Amino acid sequence: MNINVRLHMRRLFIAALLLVTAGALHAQAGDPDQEALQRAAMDALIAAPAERALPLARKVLEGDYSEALKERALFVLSQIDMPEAREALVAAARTGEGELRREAVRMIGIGGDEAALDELKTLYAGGDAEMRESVLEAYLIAGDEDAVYDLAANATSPEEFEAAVRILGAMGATGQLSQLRDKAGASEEWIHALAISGEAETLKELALDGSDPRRQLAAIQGLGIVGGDDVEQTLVDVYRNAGSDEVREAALQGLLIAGHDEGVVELYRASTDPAEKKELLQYLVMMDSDAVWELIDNALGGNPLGGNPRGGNPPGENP
Amino acid sequence: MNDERLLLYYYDELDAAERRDVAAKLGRDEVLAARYRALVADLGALREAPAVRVPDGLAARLHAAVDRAATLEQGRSRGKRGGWGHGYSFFLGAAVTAALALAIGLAQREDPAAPPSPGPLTADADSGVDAGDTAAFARTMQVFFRDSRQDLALLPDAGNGERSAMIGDLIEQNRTFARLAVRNDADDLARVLRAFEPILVRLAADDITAEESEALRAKLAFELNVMLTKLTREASEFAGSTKQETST
Repeated sequence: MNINVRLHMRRLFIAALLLVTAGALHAQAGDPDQEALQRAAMDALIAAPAERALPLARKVLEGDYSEALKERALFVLSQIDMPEAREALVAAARTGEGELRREAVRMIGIGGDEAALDELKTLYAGGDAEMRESVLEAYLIAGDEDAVYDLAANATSPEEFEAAVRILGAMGATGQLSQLRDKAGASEEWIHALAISGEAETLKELALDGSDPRRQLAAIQGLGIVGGDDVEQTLVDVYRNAGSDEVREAALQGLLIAGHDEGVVELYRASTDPAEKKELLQYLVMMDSDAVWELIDNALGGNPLGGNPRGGNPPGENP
Repeated sequence: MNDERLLLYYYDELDAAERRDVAAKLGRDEVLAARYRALVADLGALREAPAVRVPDGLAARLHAAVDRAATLEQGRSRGKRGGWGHGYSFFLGAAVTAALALAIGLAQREDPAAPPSPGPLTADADSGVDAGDTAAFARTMQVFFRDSRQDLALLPDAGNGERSAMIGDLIEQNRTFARLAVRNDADDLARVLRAFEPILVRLAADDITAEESEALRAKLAFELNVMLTKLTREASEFAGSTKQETST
């Protein structure tokens, strides 16, 4: 170890030991001066070797100290790669109170120890809404997509399922989200998650599947969120082949959210229905499309179908 | 001379006398000059590091989607046309949820479609991280943790635009470095950085009290200190072992 760093570490650790010896960590919580001293001791503890830091951090956790100090002890424990540290975190997550308990769960996520992360499943099953949220956040921190998938797959209420799929969406867990298709039913939260994770293939399938109209509509609009050339063309195709006004409207909204004004112009030029052209034009205005001014100019020039006023029809225009 | 002072020198934030002093020391002290060169290299690497974990295209699309949702709502409220019904609510809900997910940092995903951006500090998946990369990565993370600690200390108390902008920058940087950590197989650092984000988001909340803000800042400062100390120790041990191997 570099001599300067070693000296610095030693200095910090000696400071911690001195403070502990002087009773700083044994002082009662509540006294601001003592609290400041205890925090200084904990700061100094950072530099201690793991085998020395472990018993001191546990002592703080189990003693009569402020919540802030205990939170710091939990973080120190999360950075110690020893089974005893993991056990202390799990114990705090099981038996701690209020915010400290949730903080212990967060620390298990930070620590990333597989066995400790596994313990969170039990806490999730027996916990209230706050605890379940903390466990999901811990899995998000740990990047444990499979654990969140298991919670979603075994959810016993729509709320539980939706909270889990929201996390999967944030994690970009496209594979796990797709696997939840049967469980998801028409859950809009699931479709939101698919869109956020960028899972276009499943959304495209759902957008073309008319067996559940509500889910189909949500998927069409979710495609708008995902965007991309392939998806945008799918939305244009869905609009063209729509079997109902609702589906057509959803496709149009998807195009709007994707910002695909070329597609809307294409539909405008292909349309022969003045009411439909009017609606498409309104969308183009909302999309702030550059093409809209030419179309308006054409419409005002006596060619309400948007054709070229100088004669002939533009590409894609019906005669 | 500490790294903070070298950083201030690099960013031309020292007054003329201080600048002359640092320049003179750099000219005299070869070790200090080497440290400064390493710092400059790290900062250069940072500029080339991937900017955000969420791909730019997706972020821009989601933000634009929220704007368009508002336009759509205006169009609806003007009563130009009825029948938006369920579709509209989904549209707005998805757009806002997605944008919020980005804003609060839930969108942690790597975009499979995003082109690889192997900066100088980024491990090549095939070749792994060699000794030089590891040391450079550790130094980079140390600089980041120090900067974050300093930024937190400078955070204005009042809930104004400057405070929100500073926290927004911190969140953005946090994501960048979490991504860098993942690419350098430093999952432990990536987890810590991911865990910082909800706290930063809470700090940015309008309804936060001065006491809560102070407590959260102290908590983050402590955790940053722990990580900084840990990194310093590991880097030092790594340097020591490399030196030992070289001498044998």
